[in-house]
Amino acid sequence: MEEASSVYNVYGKQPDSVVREPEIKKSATPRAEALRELYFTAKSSASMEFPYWYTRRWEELDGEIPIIRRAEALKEAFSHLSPVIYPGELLVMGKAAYLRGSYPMPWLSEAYFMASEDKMYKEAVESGKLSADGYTTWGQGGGNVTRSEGNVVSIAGKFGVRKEEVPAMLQIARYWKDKSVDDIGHKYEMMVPGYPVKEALMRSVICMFDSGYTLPQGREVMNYYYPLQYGLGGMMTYCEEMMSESAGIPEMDRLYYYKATHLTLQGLQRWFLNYEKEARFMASLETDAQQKKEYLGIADRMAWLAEKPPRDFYDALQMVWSCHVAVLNEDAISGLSPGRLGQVLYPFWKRDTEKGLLNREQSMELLECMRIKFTEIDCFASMGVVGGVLSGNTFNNLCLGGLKKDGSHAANELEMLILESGMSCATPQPTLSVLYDEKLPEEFLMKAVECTKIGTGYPAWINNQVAMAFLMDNYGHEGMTLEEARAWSIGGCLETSPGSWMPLELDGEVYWIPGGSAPATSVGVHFISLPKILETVLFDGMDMRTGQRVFEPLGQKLETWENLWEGLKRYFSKAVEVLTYCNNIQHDAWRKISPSLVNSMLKPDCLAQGKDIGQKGCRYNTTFNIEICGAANMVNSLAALKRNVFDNKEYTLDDYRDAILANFGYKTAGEIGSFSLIDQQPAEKHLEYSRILKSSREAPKFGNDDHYVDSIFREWEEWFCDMCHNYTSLYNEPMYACQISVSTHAPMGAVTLAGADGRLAGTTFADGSVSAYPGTDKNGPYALFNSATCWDHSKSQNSQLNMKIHPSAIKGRDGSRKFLELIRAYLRKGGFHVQFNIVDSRMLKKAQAEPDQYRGLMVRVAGFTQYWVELGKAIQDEVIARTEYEEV
Amino acid sequence: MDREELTSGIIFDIQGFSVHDGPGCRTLIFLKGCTLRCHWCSNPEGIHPWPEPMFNPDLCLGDGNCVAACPYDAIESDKTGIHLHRESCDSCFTKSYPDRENGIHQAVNDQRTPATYSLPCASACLSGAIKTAGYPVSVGEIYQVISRDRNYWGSCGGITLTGGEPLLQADFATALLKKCYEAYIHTAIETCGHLPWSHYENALPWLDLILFDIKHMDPGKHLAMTGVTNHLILENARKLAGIFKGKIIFRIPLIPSYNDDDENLAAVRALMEETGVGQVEVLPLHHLGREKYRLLGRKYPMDPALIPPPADVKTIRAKLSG
Repeated sequence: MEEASSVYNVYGKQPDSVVREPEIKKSATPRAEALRELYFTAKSSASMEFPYWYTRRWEELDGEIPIIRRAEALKEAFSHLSPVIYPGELLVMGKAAYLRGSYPMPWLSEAYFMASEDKMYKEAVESGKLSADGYTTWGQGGGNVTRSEGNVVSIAGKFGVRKEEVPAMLQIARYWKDKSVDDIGHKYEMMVPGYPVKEALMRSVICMFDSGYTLPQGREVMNYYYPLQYGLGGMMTYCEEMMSESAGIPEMDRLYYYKATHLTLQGLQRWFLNYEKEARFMASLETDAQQKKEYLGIADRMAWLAEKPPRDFYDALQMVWSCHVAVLNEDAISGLSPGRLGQVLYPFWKRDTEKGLLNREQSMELLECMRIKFTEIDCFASMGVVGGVLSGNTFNNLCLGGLKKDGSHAANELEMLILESGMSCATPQPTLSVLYDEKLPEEFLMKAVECTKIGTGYPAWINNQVAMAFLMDNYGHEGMTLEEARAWSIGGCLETSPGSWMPLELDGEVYWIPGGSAPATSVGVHFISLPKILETVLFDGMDMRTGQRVFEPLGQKLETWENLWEGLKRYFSKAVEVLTYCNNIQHDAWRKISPSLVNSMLKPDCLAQGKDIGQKGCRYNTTFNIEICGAANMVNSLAALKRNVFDNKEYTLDDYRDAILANFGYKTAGEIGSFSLIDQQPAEKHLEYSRILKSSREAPKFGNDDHYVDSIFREWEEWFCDMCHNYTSLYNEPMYACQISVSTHAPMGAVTLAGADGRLAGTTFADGSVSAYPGTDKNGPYALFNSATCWDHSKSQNSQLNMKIHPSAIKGRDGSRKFLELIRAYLRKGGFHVQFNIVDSRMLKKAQAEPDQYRGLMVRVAGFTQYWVELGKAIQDEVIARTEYEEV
Repeated sequence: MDREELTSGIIFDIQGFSVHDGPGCRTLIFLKGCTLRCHWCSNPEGIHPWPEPMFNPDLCLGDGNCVAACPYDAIESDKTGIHLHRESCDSCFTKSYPDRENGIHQAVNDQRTPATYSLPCASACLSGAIKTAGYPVSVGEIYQVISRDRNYWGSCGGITLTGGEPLLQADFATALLKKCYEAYIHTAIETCGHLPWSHYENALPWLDLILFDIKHMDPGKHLAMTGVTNHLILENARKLAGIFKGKIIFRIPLIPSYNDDDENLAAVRALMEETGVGQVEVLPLHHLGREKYRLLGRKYPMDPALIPPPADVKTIRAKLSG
């Protein structure tokens, strides 16, 4: 969800190294520091181990009941994952045998990781599925393997795979052709009336990707209650009991479900025990006494946890992590969030510290190791998805604060330590979010402000009450109560996700711990580009970039403002309709071919009901949503058209069509190789268009507390948030609105012509959903806040506001207090989310190169007024130099 | 709308979330026009009282639209670009609205929405090379912005009038301060001190805080770098300290080898003791405003290399706090 070096959340690029805001200096423990260094040198690597064993077993069981076949395949694969333990690690286990390891899951989609000359890949391109990939580029730094080198082949533009594994990869991919979720889903989605519109939507990149097979799980909150309370052994015993209860009794699917879960648990147990074996082996080779002791400790722990519930905080943390990886390994997943982990683990932590078994230093060391483990998570998917949407970010959102079951505030001392470890050991994951509630204690909030000031982009600040209102509104029909609404958390980067309270019993005392109790959110219609929809309205259903028709002609001239508005609603509704149907089919293929077993056994109430997630086994199932991108640009364009064409009649729509096709007389972003508005260069005929361009840019812009344009935004939001409820998910539940851009605003901007707002062709849209378009919010943060809250945020699953702040505005202790005032004021106004980039000197250098992205940056000096971008190069250099070490 | 709300003036910016000019998060209103000509001024567009063009030659497309639009033939175009004869620019506003008192108010009425005022050259400019610094606005319009912003200040914010010299537009500033003060908003001004006493007198009942600038204690040196001696300033400072019921804070722009010597600092200290003003803020010289000189067609009078070393600033702060 912002760019630059130190900010992981917003555009999510991973850093080469970690930059800290100099005011707050903290360092990680030597152990964590060494592990983090190891991470920075590791490359994203794909391994065929898991897919090989999975596919081998799957092939053997042709004819078996699908869910059993799936469970056997998972069991086989988990049992054969090579265990790897790195020296110094306190927490062990990973997705694959590489530090930043992952693997393709050809049973979901086999085409996208094939070499480009492969026939399968070509077929995929032709049907428009991979169009977004062509417009997504990877950052060159970090751990991405963007080029083949030596014995390592680069695949999907990001992952390195050993050359000798490539033939196996291709052979396995070929096996899954016509059997994968993608292929089966595709066969049936073509039966949807209007299917050609879907292909056109994908080819024109009006829609970004299919969630059904690319990332069928994720954007959800994990629940670790069962393993923490009963252990894997306890869960197996329960399955055994339920098998004998359900065998031969109607609704026999329960029998297969319990059997499948039992098989999967066996696989997990073997995987745990393989780590025990590896740890003992490592210990046998180790000469350093301390390290040897640690290996043996790991061996004991893994052996214990393979069967029994955790004994202490350390055990509990390992169990949480192991379960987290286990879920990640069963599916292609982004945004699997640990949720309110500080509250889940608090009972263990509190007991251990009270008994004197655990001190602050030990806690910090464990929490820092946990940060590194979460950062190691890689997600294997196509470039369009992992690059264009996620920017390589896996969004394992850890939430803090909020309320307890009884309505009192939920912040605790362990959460203070989690914030502390987020500062001392700054890593991209897990990203942090504060569930802000008026009841939260000042001490906790100031700690969170301190962490925000360090400039890592976390925590994001989220409005607890707005989220609860949203949940009550959308999950009330499924039985959501006020009490249960308090158990919510953020799943993925910013998706409000329902939770439940689970009674964790420890030493005879019951603690109500929160955890996720719904399947993936942000499955559904994934990212509709609003500026591109408006473009097709202006050109009567055509995508002028490719020259292809997307929608039926409107059959009506756009003579009035109302006509334009109607056309927009019509095309948008058509897109949503077709995409919803196709997506439902893909997800149906997913739940039949590749049902979730690991995630299902963790989520209430699947195990109790004997149903997996795909059979509505979860307590809450209304999770499908409709996501949009580029709202600010569309609204700004509408405002410009309303003012210049319909109100003032200064220009006609044809004038605009001409100017848009001519890109206002500018060269295209592709021609000059930059997608930043400031770099755009005029072509020969630009003077002809300079007047209309000026009128367009001077038209009212969102973010300035200007009623003219804000009322259009409000009207759009009210219509959009309501219309989503008219569409029904695979689970026969109404869908709802989701408004986060993640990173789609760049690739979607790249394929969109110029806009009536004065945005030039190919340039990036505004990020977030209520962030202003860079350079157009000229009245400061308070005006932006007013615009952003011009509609009721509880009508949508989220809204997103990203702000850049120069350290001069929030310097020192007094600055921290003022910073909290600023955050609090926005949330009190009803804003759902706000997140800050505290600009460091490196980011300022970037700001020099791309000033349009930093138009609103506030360099605050007493009695002085000027925006950063207007300072001039030499003065900017001065600010950069001073930002590094001193006050401005 | 009452008469006070219609009182109008010329400002050049409103800035929310300002954190260095008075307590809490504040909204700053920059009023145009100043009685001093300090060499280090970081808001040079706040010196002249009327709206004036800011011209960035780098953005100029050379289409000549501004030349045709200027009603006073004050813009010339040649091979090297366009040239502004700024002595005519004052009349651009004053001739359109010749009546000083009602003119600004009328200009406010002529705008569709606040802050859309634009000089003819800037309106005609298609590239954004010419912009207008300063626009007429009424107390009522500013108050709308303030009413919005006060929801965001938090527990101890308010407004600060700055500029320029905010009390140069005495009626306008006073009406705005009164409007805010009566609405329980914390009010502050940052003043250079060089004004007839009457300008302060009317404003005082509506003020919580005065940030009072002390540039130099020596009249000659004061004259050299600000264009005026400090007699009136010091007289006003003493008078204010005697009768003002709110808080006064002195502010010193710290200019190396000008006002940072022990003698001057001791004199400031003495003035503090004499007046009972207990707090002083030291603002180290910076050159962030110098790009604006270029846009205004003026030469920046300071040496950009001259920056007070952080250690000195610390020492001087300590000395002044006694």
